[in-house]
Amino acid sequence: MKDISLYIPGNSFFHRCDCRVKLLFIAVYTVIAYMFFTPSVLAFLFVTAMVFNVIAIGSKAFTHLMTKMVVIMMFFLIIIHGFVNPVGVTPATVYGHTITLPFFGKYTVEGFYMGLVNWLRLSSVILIAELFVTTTSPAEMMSGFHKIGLPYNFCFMLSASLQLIPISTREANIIASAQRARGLSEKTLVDRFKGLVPMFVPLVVSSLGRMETMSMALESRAFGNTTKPTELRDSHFKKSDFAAAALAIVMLFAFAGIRAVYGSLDIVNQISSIRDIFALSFIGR
Amino acid sequence: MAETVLEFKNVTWRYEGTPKKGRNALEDVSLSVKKGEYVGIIGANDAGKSTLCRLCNGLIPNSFNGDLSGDVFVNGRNIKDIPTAQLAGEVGSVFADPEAQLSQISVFDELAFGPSNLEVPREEIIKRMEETMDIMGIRAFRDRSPFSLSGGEQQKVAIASVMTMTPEILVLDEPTSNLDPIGTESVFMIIDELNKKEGMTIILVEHEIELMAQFVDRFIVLDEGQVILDGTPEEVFSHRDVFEKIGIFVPTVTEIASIADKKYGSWDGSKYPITLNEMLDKIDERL
Amino acid sequence: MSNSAEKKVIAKVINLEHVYPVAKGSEGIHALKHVNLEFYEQEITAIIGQNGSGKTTLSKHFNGLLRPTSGQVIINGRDVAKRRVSEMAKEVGYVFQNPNYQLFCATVREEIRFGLKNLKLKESEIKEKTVEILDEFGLRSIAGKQPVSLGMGTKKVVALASVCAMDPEILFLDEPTTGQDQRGKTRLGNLALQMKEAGRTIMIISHDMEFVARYADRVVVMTKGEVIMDGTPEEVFSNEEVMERAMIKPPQTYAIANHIRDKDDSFPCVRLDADLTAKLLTEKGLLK
Repeated sequence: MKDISLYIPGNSFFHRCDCRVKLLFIAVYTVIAYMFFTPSVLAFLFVTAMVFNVIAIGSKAFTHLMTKMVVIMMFFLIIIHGFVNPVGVTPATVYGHTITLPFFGKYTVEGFYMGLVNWLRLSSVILIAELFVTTTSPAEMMSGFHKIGLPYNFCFMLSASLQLIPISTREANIIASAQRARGLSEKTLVDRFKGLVPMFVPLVVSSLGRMETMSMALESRAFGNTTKPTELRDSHFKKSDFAAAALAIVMLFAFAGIRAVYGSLDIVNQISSIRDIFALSFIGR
Repeated sequence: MAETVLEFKNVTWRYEGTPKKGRNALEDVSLSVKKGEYVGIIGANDAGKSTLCRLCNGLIPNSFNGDLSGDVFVNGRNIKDIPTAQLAGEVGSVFADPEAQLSQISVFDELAFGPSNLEVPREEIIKRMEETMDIMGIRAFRDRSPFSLSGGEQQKVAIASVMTMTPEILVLDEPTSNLDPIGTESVFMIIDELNKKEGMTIILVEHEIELMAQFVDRFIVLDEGQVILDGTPEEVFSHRDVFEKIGIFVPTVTEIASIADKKYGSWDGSKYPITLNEMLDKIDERL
Repeated sequence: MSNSAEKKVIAKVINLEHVYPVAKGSEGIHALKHVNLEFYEQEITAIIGQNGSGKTTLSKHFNGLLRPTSGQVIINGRDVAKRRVSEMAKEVGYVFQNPNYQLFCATVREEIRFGLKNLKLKESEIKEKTVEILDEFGLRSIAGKQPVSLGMGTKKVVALASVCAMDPEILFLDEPTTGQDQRGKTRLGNLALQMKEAGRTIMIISHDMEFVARYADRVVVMTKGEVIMDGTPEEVFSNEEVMERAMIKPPQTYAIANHIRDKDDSFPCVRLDADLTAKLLTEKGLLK
């Protein structure tokens, strides 16, 4: 059966890392990413997140679904920001730093800047989240969620529904076959619309049947007896977990310090060309 | 003499919403099961087999609505007085649809699920899981998703996942009805092993009468909510007329012996065979 | 088959192969390997084998739910792969293992009308045919009931009736006996015989050897995507080597006969039921 989780089994440092440390990294990256408004810091986050991914899953880091998503977002965010100026009146309208592209119209430098910043921000967060989902097995993930305080019943519901998706998909396929074999036509859109009832009713009926067995089975295994079931996975931090967590916290404080002293490093008022963006943010004013 | 672990005293149960002219699901059922017994329950569809199972593990009256009269005792205590969770640790239940019983992400978590809900200490759970995985021969699946296994393997995991709650009684409601012959046989083998080696009390509901006849100590035959026969396989199958009336077949070998006896007068007066091997042994005497 | 000379061939499977694609780069799962079979009118064929032997994959090629990787399935002289599934429903009926997957209407009557409406018949014809089918399958008294509320056995009959309403020449029954008690099995078996008499070609996919031995005229044994034997029940169930390869236990009557034949090969290889077995054992003096 097709596995729907994004987990890629392995034995890298990040695979062995406690799930809570990885969640901490996601939190730290997100906070830092939203503290700054400059490509340099964000590019640092982006590159480190990508390096972590490569360490964890090797070349698959470049072909993973979430990496692909980041690439697609690059096109959308940077292009759209450049053309439409989402914040309304930007310095571009004031300073008039635009590039005129044939057929497409005016592309603003400041819009590009904002697109770049937003893209780097979002992708840093996505990439660090990718590290979490590819190196944490669903089981660890659930126990991790429980450890950080989400209610047990909620975690159970989450994992049980993850399990149900492939079953329901397979069932839906069988039902579709069953109805087609009864002569249900699928030629036109109207036919397909009419076909929803013969699809839907059996799916509901069989799901209800399964739910009955499931609830009996759960009850027979004392589900609901406690909100604090025995935790089986090792809940102690290893040395490496402490080290990784410390690194995350150091990063957080370091960047918070930079932010306190230098501000968000927003340079949108000082740029007049795309070259300026890179020169000013990486070399300094 | 072994102690009684399960007892029904004049139990009548009617599901809520049964139409007025409909009958009770169980009608005045009395029976007792001794420790280590392997009991097969047979009957036509709707004879009350599943209802009987649900009463053993307290699903009735805890999760189903209806009217109960009479008493069910597990290990001498009335199920009405035992909290459901505790009862779950004493009576393990396995159902027909293997997928619907499994809910966890890996076989490991599946086995841990029951005892951890009972807040059994971690070391104890691990110990039980190790033992159970060896007994059931499912160690190789430890980290796999239960949903990636075949039906027979899933059913073994389902049995294992109640075993870790260390029940004394195992109630199985048609555990092989969704399996192919290989899966069916492997499940029958494992149940037999649990009974013979681990001394578990087994209550098994099935349609596979010929296969059951090889293993069970005792058959209970239900019809329309009532116990109509209760005894060793030999005793029960000697009532062919009753089986005919309720529309279940006795094992083919028993049928053959009976026809040979009644129609051809060629049976030597010994007990009718129950299993294929008994019949073959008999034939071998003269072959 | 001995009677193939007189009987009309309804369906032909020629060199059928099916490979389920898996992930890129790997080989795929070879579910069917060069299967050649012919099916005749008025015949009940049972297809047996363990899960994963290719039975269901084979059956889905008959109404186009699966397309061959190579080879052909020809029904009434036409290649199935070139036709739509909904169009095939007129010729090939398929009753699924779980009737809950098939039934969805508010009443049994509606369930039977559903297929007829898909065939775009006139209302008067639909009415007439529905009554006919309700009678044929003994469902008249429950025509107004909700299929969901019925017992498993009756649901199966309703599913069967709703498929037969479209008057298919070929009828597939996938595991008709699961979850059925003896009464239900007998009822379905008799309906199968009744439909065979009416001239249909019936194929049963089953794990239930007793049922197969009782009702099938012919048994096809499959393992690992290949047909390893094709013959009458007595031929198949007395072939111990094939039974072992397919990991199938023959019905007890045949197991007894096989056991005796190991030492006394004069024991006849015939179609056995309990009565005949008792008679033969008596004649051989093996019981007293």
